[in-house]
Amino acid sequence: MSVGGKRLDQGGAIDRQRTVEFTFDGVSYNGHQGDTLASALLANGVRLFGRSFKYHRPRGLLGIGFEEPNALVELRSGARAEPNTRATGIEIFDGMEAKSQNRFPSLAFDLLGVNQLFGRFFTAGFYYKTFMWPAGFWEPVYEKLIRRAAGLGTASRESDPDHYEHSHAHCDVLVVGTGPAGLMAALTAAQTGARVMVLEDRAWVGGMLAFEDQKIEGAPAQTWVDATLHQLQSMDNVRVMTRTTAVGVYDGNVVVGLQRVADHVAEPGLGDPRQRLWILRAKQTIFATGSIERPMLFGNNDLPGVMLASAVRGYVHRFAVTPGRAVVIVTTNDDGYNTAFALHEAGEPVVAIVDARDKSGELAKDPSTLGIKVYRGSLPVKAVGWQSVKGLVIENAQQQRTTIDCDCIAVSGGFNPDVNLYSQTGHAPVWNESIAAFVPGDHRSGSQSVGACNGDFSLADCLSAGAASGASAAAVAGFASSASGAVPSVRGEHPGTIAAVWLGRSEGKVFVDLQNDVTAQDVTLAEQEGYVSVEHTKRYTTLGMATDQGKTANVNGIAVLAAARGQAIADVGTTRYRPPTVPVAIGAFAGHERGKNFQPIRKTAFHAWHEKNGAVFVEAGQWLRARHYPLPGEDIMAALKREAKMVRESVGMCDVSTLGKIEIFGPDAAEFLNRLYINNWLKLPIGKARYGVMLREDGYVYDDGTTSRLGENHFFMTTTTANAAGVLAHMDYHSQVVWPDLDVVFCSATEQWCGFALAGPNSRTVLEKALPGVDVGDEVLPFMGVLSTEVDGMPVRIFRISFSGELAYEVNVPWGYGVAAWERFFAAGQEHGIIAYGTEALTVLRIEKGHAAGQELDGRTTAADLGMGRMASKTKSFIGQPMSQRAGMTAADRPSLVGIKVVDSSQRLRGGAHLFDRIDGVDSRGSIGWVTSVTDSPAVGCWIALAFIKGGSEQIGKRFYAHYPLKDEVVEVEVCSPHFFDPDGERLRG
Amino acid sequence: MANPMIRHPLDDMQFKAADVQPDIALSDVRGKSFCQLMARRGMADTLAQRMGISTGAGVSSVTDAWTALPLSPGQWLLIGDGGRDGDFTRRVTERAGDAGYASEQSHARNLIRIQGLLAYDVLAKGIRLDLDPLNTPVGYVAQTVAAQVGVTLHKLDEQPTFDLIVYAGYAESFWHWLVDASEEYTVDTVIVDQG
Repeated sequence: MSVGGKRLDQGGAIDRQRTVEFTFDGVSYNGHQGDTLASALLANGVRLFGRSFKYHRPRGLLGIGFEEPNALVELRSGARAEPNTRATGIEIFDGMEAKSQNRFPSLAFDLLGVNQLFGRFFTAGFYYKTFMWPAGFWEPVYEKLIRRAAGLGTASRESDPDHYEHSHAHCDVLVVGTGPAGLMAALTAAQTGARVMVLEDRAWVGGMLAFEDQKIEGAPAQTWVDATLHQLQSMDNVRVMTRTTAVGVYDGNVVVGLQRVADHVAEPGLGDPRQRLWILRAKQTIFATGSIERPMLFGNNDLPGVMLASAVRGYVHRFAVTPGRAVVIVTTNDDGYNTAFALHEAGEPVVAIVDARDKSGELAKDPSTLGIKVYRGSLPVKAVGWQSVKGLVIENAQQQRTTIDCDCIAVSGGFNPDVNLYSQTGHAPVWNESIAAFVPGDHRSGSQSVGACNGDFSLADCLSAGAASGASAAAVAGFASSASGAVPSVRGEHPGTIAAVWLGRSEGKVFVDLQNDVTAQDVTLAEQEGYVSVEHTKRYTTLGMATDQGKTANVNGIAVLAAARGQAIADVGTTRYRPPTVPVAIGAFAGHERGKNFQPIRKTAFHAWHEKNGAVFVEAGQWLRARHYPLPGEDIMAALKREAKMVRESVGMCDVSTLGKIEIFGPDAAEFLNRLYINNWLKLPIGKARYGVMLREDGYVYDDGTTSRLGENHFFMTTTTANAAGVLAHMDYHSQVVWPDLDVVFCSATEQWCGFALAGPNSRTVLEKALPGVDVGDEVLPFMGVLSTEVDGMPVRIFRISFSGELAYEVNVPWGYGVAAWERFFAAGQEHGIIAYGTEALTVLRIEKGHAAGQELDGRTTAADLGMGRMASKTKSFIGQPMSQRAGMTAADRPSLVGIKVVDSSQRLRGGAHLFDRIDGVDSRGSIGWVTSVTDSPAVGCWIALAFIKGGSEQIGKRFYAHYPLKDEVVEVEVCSPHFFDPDGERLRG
Repeated sequence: MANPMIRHPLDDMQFKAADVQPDIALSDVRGKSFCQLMARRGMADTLAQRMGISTGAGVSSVTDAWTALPLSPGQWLLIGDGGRDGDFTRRVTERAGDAGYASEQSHARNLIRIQGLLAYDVLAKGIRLDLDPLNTPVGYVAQTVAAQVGVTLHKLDEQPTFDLIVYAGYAESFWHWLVDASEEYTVDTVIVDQG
């Protein structure tokens, strides 16, 4: 007897004129255009495709589609290597490299196959029972062992060179699947004028019709499929997408589809993505996802050569490949006979049909006239063989056993409607006794199931139900039916009943979940150990948790559990299916948003200058800000100290464009500000700026900044960088909802105006030189003064405000003038050695002045905590005022802002350190405060910090210990005023 | 002539014309003026009437002086000619009189134009809205997000031509996405100066 598969001399939908060369485990093979890796390997007589997950047992093909649990391969090599791809779905291309997985050193001889000998120990819950002690072994020993032994395939460590993208689409009716029901539904819906989208996992349409030799209107079904596809593609309102799998269903009829744009070629074409993730929004969704044949449970049912009967038939019809040369059909229903007929018609011997029933339905042919022996009322006991099937032991009702020699066992345990997407809508499938399968129950509004996935297995039913669903979905979407409603005619079918056979009379190791190596014995043991819920059994045994999501395993597993519980399958129910239905590459989820495109980069108007002048950037939200400008050989500490020192001694420029800017207009603008901020705004004169603090509704400090009055009814607000968008939304809410009576409008002006701080004792001199003819003296532009002017056609706004504590100005110009203005001022400052300073030096300067920033405005501090309690007006109401009066908010022992400095100037401070009054034995309960912002201050000459401490300013002069347990550091510190430098503000008033 | 000192947000991008008839044309349209027009409380109708624009949502109004894109009730983004430093906002302010206020936004915004039948496919890679011609008449306006960047979208014709208006600081990032999204087609990238 010759063994294994071979290519048939004729038939199939392959292009025999086109030979495709590929390798599997380094061996070269030929296939044809139109082959999958699975069909091409079968045609070459390959039976061993991989090794199993836990026991490393040899495994061959089981199925023909995305249900395949065994034939997982690593595709391509190098950076494009992709593990766990299903050979049944891979279209071969010239030069394709595929490798088997989970074997060492080779597929035929796998050392870890020794695991089979210890199979009795590797039962359900093995890890939980075995790796319990000693606890110290878990991470260094057990986890490493488990990681080495577990998992399928190896991911590439190189960066994926391809790109992925997302795409959005909308339609009235979305049809998932292009079998007879799906095509009919799409056609009927499309004929109403509705926008229809059709998704098909395969490269071709037709669903199971592509694997059968059925007839429609008296002609081969493929003729009808081709004509229907042509009709659909000629309609403007229809989009048919092949190689696109619906992987998830979400709320609001959102369906996510994975389009494999370039998986069927060696490399994506120029500009093409590898895969595209579609986010589809449909008014109506029709699931026409078909059904998946159920394997049968018997001993050694995982041996290579045991296949689904419909898959065997499919390989014969679609690919002209017979998977075996001596095939035994084992079936519980009439469909198995069709496989026997298909093989017989192809001239291949069928050794026998083993039918669990005593009587079949009305068959197309009589097997006995074809010379095929039928064993009725018989069940499989075990398959015989080591690396592949050599025979099958069966037993009849009289318990007589027979051994049949064969090299392929084609099994049909019935058909499970593919309810995966349906289940994702949140509804539970229900058990249908007559077909021994779970079928959809109630549907979520806007979706329906049709055809085999709804339990309709006859071609005639699929076509008529498809037409009805297409029309009804279109009607609900608002499209009246104008279709002819003609459903093509097919030969009547009169199938017999199905025998619901589960464990039967099996002997030996019976696999329920082939991919995760879960046996029927594991499921029974889980039940005995108390995991009686199907959800618990799943997690304890890992049944259905592999990359195939148990597509061929779940119902058998549920049946075994039901038997162990002594309950009906209907009472056990199914687990809830979750997206994705098939594995999806992380790249597809990320789409465009990876690497440098992970999030948008927001640049200030001065960015080009910073870049040209050696800035090192830091991300501040989406902004890129200049952090420092190191000179050759300078590290960050040296650079920030130099920059801060130059500001204190002469003059520097710092990009502050990222501050939020909001223009506010209207007669009630001042009143609006009065309610937003804790301090008073009604009497702010035109041409003056004021510092303001705003609270959240709960009384904590939200944001701060300066706001200037540019006109009677015109204000210009600045916010912190972090809260720019939030403050605008906060204002919008209060303007629209809380105070709709206020006559005020506002909008963002953040990007209209870019700005830089010009700070240092020489800043006024530089300003005068850069703006000749503009009077910027104290009379015209005093501290907190604002000046709008124009120089050489460039609008300029100058705000005399200071964050550094030096005489300083903030200069704003429209975005496009940014670089020109910066260069103008920088040139004007050359004689004073002007420097650009970044956010690090900015931080040094503000800490030295005791100015609060993000670390202090962390959402947990009150105005009083920050030393600004006296700013709060007692004569008006403002947002957060009532809640700021709560007992906890005004408690005397609240930590409040102070300065601290190291006692030993050789020591450093760290942000986040906690303050204690003793050097040892600290824990978090004894903390009396914490450090927020730290710097090695050039002005003070040692590390200083801002901190919150209980007792606040009363602690000034006292010494504490700053503990930083992450680095096991303890530093003695002295509490001082937060105003380390120029406490009286003489410098900023110039 | 435009002042060479004044930078545009996409100055550092590379533009190139396609060798063959392009499927997609991407233009950095310069020289437009922008301002945000905001009606005072209860004066949206008065202001709209005064400006010659509609108070309707989702559709632009085009006059000889400006194109108004509705942003929210009583608020519009007004686009005019004459460049970023013209007196557009002053003229708008004058016309609005006591019915509203105009905030200068000419430097804050960058206008990117996409043209060509495949524009629908390119935009669908980032924009969640249903831009099907059936649902987007000429003049269609929407504020949405593409590639995590806020964008105001305006359909100019059925070619189709879409104007995509983004903030200046995001312009480079948005442009990169748009060029990437167009990469599978033949694409022209050009600067169009209407100043």
